[in-house]
Amino acid sequence: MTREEIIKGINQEIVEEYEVDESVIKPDAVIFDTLNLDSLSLVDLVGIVQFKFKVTIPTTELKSIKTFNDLYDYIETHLPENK
Amino acid sequence: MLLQNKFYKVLDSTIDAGGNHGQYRLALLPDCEVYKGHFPGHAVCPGVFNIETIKECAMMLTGRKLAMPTVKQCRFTAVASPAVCPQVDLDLTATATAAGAYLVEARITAGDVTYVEFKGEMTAL
Amino acid sequence: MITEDIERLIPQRAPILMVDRLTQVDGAEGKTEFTIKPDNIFLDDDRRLAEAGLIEHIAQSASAFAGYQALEAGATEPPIGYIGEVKKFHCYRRPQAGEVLHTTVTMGAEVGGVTLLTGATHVGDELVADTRMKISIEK
Repeated sequence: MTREEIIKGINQEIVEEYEVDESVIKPDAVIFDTLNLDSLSLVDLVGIVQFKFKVTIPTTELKSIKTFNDLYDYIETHLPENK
Repeated sequence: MLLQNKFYKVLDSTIDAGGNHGQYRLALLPDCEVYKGHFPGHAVCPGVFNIETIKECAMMLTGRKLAMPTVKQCRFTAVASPAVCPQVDLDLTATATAAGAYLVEARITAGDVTYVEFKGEMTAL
Repeated sequence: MITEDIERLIPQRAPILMVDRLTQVDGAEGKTEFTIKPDNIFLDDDRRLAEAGLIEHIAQSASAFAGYQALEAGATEPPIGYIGEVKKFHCYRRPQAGEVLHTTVTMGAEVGGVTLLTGATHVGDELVADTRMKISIEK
């Protein structure tokens, strides 16, 4: 899976789950603020990544994922096929 | 009504002229039997009782007996109990989407604290 | 086959105990069973379960699964869980007194004690309700 495919795939899921316009998802934007996340809605994002890419993000690793770019990086480096 | 005057009591209500928006001031009754089991020695409002309370207020507002085929989303953002919030405000909008069908949006708050945010579909039985 | 008493797995008690048995655990999936008695707290005037009763049953099914895992991990008391969110709940038919609910819960991602799950409830072969849900478990 290419990085472009990852970005397209995850953005599509985020648009659906959080009912946001895709234009707000910019690589450098802070995920928490952009999606207006709280402790309840954060788990949806982790759920999407797990369901769509079979990548599990442990709670301890979440702190290092701030922007959408960080998220794409994390998925790319942890994809089962890239391991 | 399953829960009226058992789990909650309506102290006051204001219905807008259009009839699709209502505000209810509710007392949460500490002697409700549900607290024997939820949980023993630690009374906490079951989240689903709050959902049922919203349904019952929607029935009062619309004047119809309702079923609730869909809950689009219901968030419980704080844990309610008769000790923590003896009185709560329930704000409810029921928008008719078809004959006998309503989109219901509701919020349960006490002061600055939001306990429940609800969005679902109800239909007249 | 799981023989553990339900009161060892979840903290809820009568009159709002809405699971009789956790029957099976397989990976992230758990199965439960519940017979609706004539005096069930969620039975409406028409002797059918209010939708909230189905939601509670699915939540307690997930709680029983979590309780089983906690017990396996050495806990002595069942953990208290709260519903954080109900999403895309559908009730296809409200079951009545005497009917037996068979529910499958599938646990998903977990962050900071909040767990995503899906649940589906059948009576016989008929799907009567399904939902997505989040529960937060006190640790």
